[in-house]
Amino acid sequence: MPIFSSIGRYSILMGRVFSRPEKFRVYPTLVIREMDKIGLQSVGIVSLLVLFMGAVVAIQTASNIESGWIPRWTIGYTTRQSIILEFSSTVVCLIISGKVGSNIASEIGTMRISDQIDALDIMGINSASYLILPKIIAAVFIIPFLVLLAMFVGVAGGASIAILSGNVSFADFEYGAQYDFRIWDVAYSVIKTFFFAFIMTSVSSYHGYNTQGGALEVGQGSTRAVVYSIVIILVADFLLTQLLLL
Amino acid sequence: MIQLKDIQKSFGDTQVLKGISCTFETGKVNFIIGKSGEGKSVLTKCMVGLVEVDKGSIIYDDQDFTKMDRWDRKTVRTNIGMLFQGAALFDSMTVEENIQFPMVMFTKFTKGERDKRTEEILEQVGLQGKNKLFPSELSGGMKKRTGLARAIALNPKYLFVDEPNSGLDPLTSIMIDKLVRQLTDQYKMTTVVISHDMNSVIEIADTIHFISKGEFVWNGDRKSILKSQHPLLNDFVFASQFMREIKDKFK
Repeated sequence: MPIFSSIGRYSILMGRVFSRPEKFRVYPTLVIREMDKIGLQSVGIVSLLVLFMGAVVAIQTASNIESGWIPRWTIGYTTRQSIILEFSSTVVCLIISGKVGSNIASEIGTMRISDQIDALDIMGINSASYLILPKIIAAVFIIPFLVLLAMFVGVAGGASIAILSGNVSFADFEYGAQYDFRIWDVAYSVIKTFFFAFIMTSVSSYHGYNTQGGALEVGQGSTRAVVYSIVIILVADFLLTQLLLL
Repeated sequence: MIQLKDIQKSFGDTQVLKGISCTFETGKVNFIIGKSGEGKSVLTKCMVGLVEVDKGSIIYDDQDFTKMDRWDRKTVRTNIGMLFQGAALFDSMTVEENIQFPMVMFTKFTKGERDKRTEEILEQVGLQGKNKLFPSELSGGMKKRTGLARAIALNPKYLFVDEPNSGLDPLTSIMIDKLVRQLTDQYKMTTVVISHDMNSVIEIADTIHFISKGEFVWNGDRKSILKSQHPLLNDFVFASQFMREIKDKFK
């Protein structure tokens, strides 16, 4: 069964990634470099997308409130809950998977087909640890901050559009956004992000590291990395939601 | 010195290496020649530990590489330098960073010491002043020279060179050949070159091992290769009109 073979090879690779590195003091520099690539360089796209997500959620909620029995502050409440519980963590991580996952898989895949990984191994360096561990550490550390930023920008986007379009007053939106606020919802979202960050970097690295062939296979590996990351993130989202919210 | 004893390797039902034994001597440029798909690359990968052998021993100066664990192998590997066919330079690093990479990972050199050693090596390979260039800014010959510079950064005892002249013009090829010869003499290394290129063989080979269907079927030096009556070797060496004319003149 190919799936069990893949799981086995992924586990062996992770074993190598988390084994003792050759020279620990080079890792902080690598981690900081990866934080920049994975996190800081994604701030723009994440902010832009989540801003519009917040706006769309607010407009859709407003357009669905027809009954006079439902208060207008529901727009603020729904926008906040949607953004915090799902959009800021899962949807943002799916977006980052597309951007960062393909980047990681193609970077490592190119290194594989151009013998750069063999060069590391021949030097006596644990190539899996040297190339993948900094990416995992950087993603697990920086992506939760991106998610917190996304929560703020998403709710702000929803508020701006809802208020400017005249669907709700600032006071109503503010009331809804604060209504029944539980810090656990934010924690739940951030906890999910740790898992998603690990999944997207490790799965993409696995596909890049096991690339064989040439430029065509690098592209195929990159696509597979994104598809598998997204599917596994969605499955993990379901499992973590069952575990943390019910 | 590197000794191979009865090296065997199979992939599935296909036996790629069928009991290879030989000795690569210190201070000499040892060539492994043969057609594509005869086992040259697999043998090289076995020798540097990228592929595990099924049977046999690879002995680096009395240390059996095949019986070592990962950490013991690391000690041997720091004494191995390798120039890959495509140079395998790290794209994200400059020439200087590529050369200094093994020093950063395996020595306690200060930045000043690393810079001094880098300048020495760059001078040896004729790349002075190219420190800050990235691999994408280098020509094929410069990439090979940078690869060689990185390979010798830690004064290795063993140098592996895979197809040093592929994709290079004749003049640059000769320059790389001479550089391999010069560095082997200077660092007293055991150099193993994998090549198809008969010009390189005639230019710098001390010993030659001809591989066919996973076995060394002929061993000798560059003079004896031209006199050999081995049919497979003759077909390989004198495949080109140019080499046939040389043979006629040699006779």
